[in-house]
Amino acid sequence: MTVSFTLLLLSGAAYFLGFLFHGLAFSGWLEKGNRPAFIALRIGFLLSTFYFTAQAMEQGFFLPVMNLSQALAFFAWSLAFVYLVLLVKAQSDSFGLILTPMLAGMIAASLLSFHLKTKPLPLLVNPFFTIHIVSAFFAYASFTISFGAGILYLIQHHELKTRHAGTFYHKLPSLEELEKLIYQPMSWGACLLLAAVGIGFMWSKSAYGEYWIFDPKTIATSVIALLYVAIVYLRAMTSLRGKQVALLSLAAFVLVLFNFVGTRFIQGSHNFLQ
Amino acid sequence: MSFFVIGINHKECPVAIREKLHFTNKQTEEALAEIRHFPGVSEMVILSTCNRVEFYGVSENSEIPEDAVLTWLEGVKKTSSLEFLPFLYRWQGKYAVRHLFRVAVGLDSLVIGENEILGQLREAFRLANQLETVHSLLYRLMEKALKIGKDVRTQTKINEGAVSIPSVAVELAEKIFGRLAGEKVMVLGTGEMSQLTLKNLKEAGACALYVVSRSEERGRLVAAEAEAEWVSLDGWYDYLAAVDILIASTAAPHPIVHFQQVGEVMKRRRHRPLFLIDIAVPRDIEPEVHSIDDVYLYNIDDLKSVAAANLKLRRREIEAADKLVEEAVLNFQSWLEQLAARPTLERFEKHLNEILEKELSSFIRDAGIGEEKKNEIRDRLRSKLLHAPFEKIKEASQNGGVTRYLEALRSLFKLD
Repeated sequence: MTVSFTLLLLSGAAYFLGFLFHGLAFSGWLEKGNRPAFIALRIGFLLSTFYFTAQAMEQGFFLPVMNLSQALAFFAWSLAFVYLVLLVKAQSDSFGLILTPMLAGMIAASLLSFHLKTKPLPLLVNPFFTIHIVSAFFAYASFTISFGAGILYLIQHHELKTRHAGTFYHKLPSLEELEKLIYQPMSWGACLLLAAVGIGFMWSKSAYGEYWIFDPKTIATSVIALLYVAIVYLRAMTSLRGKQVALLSLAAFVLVLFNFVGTRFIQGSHNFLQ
Repeated sequence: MSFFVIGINHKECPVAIREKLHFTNKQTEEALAEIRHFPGVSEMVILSTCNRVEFYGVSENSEIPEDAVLTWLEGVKKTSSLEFLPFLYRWQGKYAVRHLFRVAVGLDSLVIGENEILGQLREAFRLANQLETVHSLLYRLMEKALKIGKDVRTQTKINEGAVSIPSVAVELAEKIFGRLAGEKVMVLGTGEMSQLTLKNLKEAGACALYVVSRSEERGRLVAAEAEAEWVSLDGWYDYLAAVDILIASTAAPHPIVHFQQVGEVMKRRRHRPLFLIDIAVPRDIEPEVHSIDDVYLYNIDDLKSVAAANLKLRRREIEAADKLVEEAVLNFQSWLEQLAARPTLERFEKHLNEILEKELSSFIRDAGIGEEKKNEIRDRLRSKLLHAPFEKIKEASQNGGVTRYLEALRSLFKLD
């Protein structure tokens, strides 16, 4: 068992522990469970950070997306980063209940495919490419947060519209807070994805001599970036609010999933494995 | 010496009688000043709220001074005890302690787990303390009652969820807007419930903007109290787009807030959420309004059903709260028994000391051991001899069986 594998394993265990504590708090078994859950989440994030540091030191360069295992682990790390660092003021206990199982699941999947060793093409070991990847992952992590908050918004909205004061009504945050949790990450996610696309064009020019490569992932990414920009614009400039924004965050995320997973099965120039 | 409580409460006693026996703070002060001279009563606290009038005290003998208290009450309140005697309850000893703890926790309240009673009990204690009608025993009991009241509210969910109409309105507003911070409120009508709801919303952080009423005089009066602006009933609609929360409680026989109006207002508000509280009967707001996106309409029945659901959640916590109360009663009883055992134990310790001193002195003289060594041997022997019986008595104090041991000690060692 290598150091990096152990770190990733411990990180996944911490996320899972966080999920258990959140679950106990939500069910009422352990009223103060959200605090240890949050600590476990932060420990998991820290361990993941050490994992990528260890990987970079082993490889001699930082490119955390050379195989599915790394991509999943890096996505989980980005997700935790966006939530813990960027959304520090908008955090809520009930959101941790959604986030922690997602993180634990991604780390578990990453551990299962850990043995897959791949070497990157030399042209990928390039600062432009690294920034392109990191921006894109942070953008997708932001959209995932929006998606999770969108689900919670629709549940709370349903509770309020049906006038049902059940567990979700009591445990979930207010609509205002949830809308903020949808809209904020969506806004900077759209900017980050646009930046990722732009930097990708620049890298493509330096690597292949052309700005635009006709490729399913490039097309999907551009469409997603424009879609999110459109939603953010409509939210800021028109009457688009609350439920509609939540529904759109869900719909747009389906495209994100397709882009992240679906395009792996379509042949294109984004397949860099040797 | 024993604790007692005599009182009436909302469970049996009708409000007409409760209000006759009610004591204001000033009356409580006067009453305590008189009661402290009662023969057989060494300490006293009067707890008088809209739901209960109770006299907590310490009697110098094992009987409740019921006759003295009732005769005095008849005189003070100018009423016959025959009126309230059927509803009167009296508890003594640990039953009185348990009753007080249940009152402090809110288990005996009309609305289970309500917080107000704890403040009222604190105030009753403060008054009694100020007039020096509480000393060591009742003081300790009151302290413990306030502590258990606080502990149960922290450790269980007995006081969670709003259960009154105004507080449910605040809870819902917070579920829509988050922590209230200047959300603007308009009130249609000047009814008592709408004012109370507005007061609660303001206390939570909302801001009163408009008071709408047909009568200008009454409207301006209510608006001034709420630091809001009065608006005539003919022109209220023009102001609706500026508010986030609308409380409607007019006496109009038909709806005055219509679906189409709210639909148009929502466009002007660019669909910022609008919370409508309709506490009027017949209703002031067309129910179809609730189907508009980002509009949340709750009428009086909806608010009541949220309150009922919250109350149901509180009821689930009764068992846990009762368990904590029982533990507290047990601990307090144990403390009382240990307190009662102290004179006998002190006599026993003194008796043992005398024997040890006498026997050791002659032995040490013969053996040629110094005074310091003698004291050391005496202290060690005494602690070893006392350890087991003291532990046993401490243990027995938790099960209420300490008297048996004390009697045995007194009889075996002729301590009396």
